[in-house]
Amino acid sequence: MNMQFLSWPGFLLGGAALAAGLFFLQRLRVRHRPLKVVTTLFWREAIDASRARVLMQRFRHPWAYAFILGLCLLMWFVFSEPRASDDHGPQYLLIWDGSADMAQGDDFDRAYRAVAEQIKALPQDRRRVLWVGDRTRTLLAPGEESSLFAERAKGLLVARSPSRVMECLADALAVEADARPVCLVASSVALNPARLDLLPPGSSIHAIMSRNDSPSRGLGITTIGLSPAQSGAFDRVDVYLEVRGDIAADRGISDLKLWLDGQPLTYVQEQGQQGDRAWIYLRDVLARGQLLEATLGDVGYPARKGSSDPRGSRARLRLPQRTRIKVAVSAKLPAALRLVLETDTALDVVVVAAGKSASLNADVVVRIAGESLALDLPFFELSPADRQTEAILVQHDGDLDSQQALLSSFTALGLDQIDASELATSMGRSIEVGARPGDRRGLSMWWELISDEYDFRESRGFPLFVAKSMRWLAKIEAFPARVAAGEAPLLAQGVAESKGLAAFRDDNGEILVAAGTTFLPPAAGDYRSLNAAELGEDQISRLSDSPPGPNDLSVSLFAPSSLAPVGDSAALGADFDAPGASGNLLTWLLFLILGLLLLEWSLYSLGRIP
Amino acid sequence: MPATSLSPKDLFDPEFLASLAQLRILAGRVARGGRHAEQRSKDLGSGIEFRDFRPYSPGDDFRAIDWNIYRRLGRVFLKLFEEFEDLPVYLLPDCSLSLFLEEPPRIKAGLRTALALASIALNQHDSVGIFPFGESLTTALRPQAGKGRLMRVAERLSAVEPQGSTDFASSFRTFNAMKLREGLVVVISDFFDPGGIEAVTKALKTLRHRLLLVQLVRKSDARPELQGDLQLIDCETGAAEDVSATAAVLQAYAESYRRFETGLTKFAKSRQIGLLQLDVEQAVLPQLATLFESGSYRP
Repeated sequence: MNMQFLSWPGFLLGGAALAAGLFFLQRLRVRHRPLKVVTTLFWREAIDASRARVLMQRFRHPWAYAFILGLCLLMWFVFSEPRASDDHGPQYLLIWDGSADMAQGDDFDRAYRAVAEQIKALPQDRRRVLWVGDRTRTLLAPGEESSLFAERAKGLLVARSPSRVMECLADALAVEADARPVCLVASSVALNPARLDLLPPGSSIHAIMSRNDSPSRGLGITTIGLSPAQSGAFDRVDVYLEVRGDIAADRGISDLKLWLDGQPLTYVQEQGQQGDRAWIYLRDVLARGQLLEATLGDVGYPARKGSSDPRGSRARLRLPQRTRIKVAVSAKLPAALRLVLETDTALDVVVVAAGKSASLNADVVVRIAGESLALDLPFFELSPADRQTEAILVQHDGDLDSQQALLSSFTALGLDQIDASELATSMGRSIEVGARPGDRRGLSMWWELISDEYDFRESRGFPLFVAKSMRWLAKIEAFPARVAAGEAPLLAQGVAESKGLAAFRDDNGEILVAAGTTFLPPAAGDYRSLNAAELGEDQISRLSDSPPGPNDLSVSLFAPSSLAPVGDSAALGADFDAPGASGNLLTWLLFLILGLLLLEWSLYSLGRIP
Repeated sequence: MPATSLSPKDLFDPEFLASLAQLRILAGRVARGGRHAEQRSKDLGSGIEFRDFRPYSPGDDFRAIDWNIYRRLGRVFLKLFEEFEDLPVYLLPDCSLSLFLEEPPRIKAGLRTALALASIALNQHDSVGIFPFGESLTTALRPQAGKGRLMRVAERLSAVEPQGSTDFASSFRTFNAMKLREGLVVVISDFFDPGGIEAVTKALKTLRHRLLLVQLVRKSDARPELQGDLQLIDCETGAAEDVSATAAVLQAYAESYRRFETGLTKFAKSRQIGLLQLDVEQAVLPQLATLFESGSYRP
């Protein structure tokens, strides 16, 4: 323990107190040398006669006093470690990037060493150490012992998340704006100069990790993600994988092993390579909710101490559940509509003769109003214009308000694709859209809209409207265009917004709650949506009032540095020099004190000092 | 246990003893009852040296009647002659531990002085007794006369052993109890009694003999060359005193010692007692010779 809070005035006061204490002790401190004499008679009388009446007269051995005082002051200095203007010194924020980008080479370990080196040099009470992976973790708070760092960093691995260093910097600089912390970043990710410019002016940001000039020693999976199949197959997805690192003739993407629910995956692969990056596309993977796992095997980086999981050498992603929608259609259906249905690859169309029921084998029924065809299924009806007021009447289930239900499903139904004004003009009557509650979803449209008299069926919006309607009726959620770690899920309708409360449980069983904000999955993996029963009681009331959040998510990993080019680190400050390596000085002072103590002992043994 | 390094041969130095042959101790009148010797006695005897007349008394020896006076005056007077007897010399060497400390130890000079005085006494047919003392007094040699006794005296002196602390009162009480014939008591000591000079003089006053004091001193007694912080341990009593030898303390010591010395000197003068301050670091004989002005010492 020491008194690192002690200021110079405090140190001087303590030194003065020591000097005064030693001064009085010096007067009292007498080392008597035994000597046998013929008689002590006269000495006894002499002592009585000359006994000191004033303490000052007993002060002796001034050189011994000076020596001991110097020794004590040195020890006091080492013990107290006085600091000049301690309260106003800069605060230091050490950021250790734990994102997937750090899986390249030995970047993660080099960052660890760089941080550890700075921890030794920086003042203990003015430095904070953060690990920024899938979440931000404080490894060392100000004032905590440096030795805790190694212990707390032992189990850390590269996270399956993109670098969040910029966000961390922005948060830290915003929160501690008055302290104006000096930020020291240990990351191999080049920080975007444009984003650095957005930080508060005068921010001091330094890179403490040198670029890796030596060849890396392995490969790391930095990206794993999926997208709807380019082939257009509704029930298939394309998977993208990227590895970075030491790519050589005998080491590269070919070392990537893939499993789907534990079974080796043998799809035809598209692959490419550029510099230290290599990527692979898996096309048209059947999406049945399987778990896709990719490993690098022996070419991955070795495991860090205290962990059995090689960092960056394994990635997992759960594929979405996609099956074709079975649609039962009436034999009386107009050919134009049947053609649209049959050309939709997401639909399996079954024509049902009048009087037959296909309810057991279909997800949606398309019929003419008045037909008794699969009355228990979600329906798409063609109704004469004189039988309903609205051109399109939406029947929604649940307890929602009809107006609200119509608004929330407007885009999902593809109604936004219909040019209602042009249609109204050509028909000579207003085109209205209405909604009503029902026990199942349904959609009723004027028959006349797709007759030869009008050109709606020839418009671009018609097949889109039909296709989206079928999916809405079958309750098929739009396939996420992009669900990546650190990003808001990008659905077909746009960014998924959560005005209420959304709760998820991640791979590790931890519950993540986004209240009133868009849920940002912190790392790649599976996120299962939680309902009120699964969430804590204190959250139930809030969750029950919220509109339904997004369903389960399979989050991909897209390290931004691998997707978007960014500038180099030129925007960062100059090389950082730690303030005064006081540790070395203290070490030398301790040696000096030890030497002086030995000298004092020898002098004492020789009787040279009392 | 400190011990004297003197042997009888060391004490029995022929040259040293030969140089003492010319010295004499002349007592005024020795007490009656002694042996016939060379000291004038208080007694009147049948010597050849006329001393006085006195009227005849019945029973007197007719041979001492001065018939010439009777013829002229018609009265009978006796002629009186000097009686010569011996002077008992009692040597009381201090054998306390303080005499054996330091280098050279005071006991060496003390024993040499005792032997010298014994030699002088024996040469003039006086008797010599040796009574070493410390905590108590012992008899090393009962009073004896005769020149041939010198070697024995030397042997007894060299055999003295340290006797703890100095206690003049107890030792002299023992000596007085012996009821010895009045003689010359030679006290050879440093006179460092734990009771101080008062205890010394008080004890000396109890002695009903003629006194000769030989004070064994050294220069450092008056001006000790000590420095620093010391724990002074009394070699006799073991008492310890923590002393810081500052100038003030040394000055106070010198004052204290001077008072002691003055006290002893005043006592000697007031009692007309011989006092010889013998520097133990110097030769004994020259210092001893100062006692014998024109070759004789008259106690």
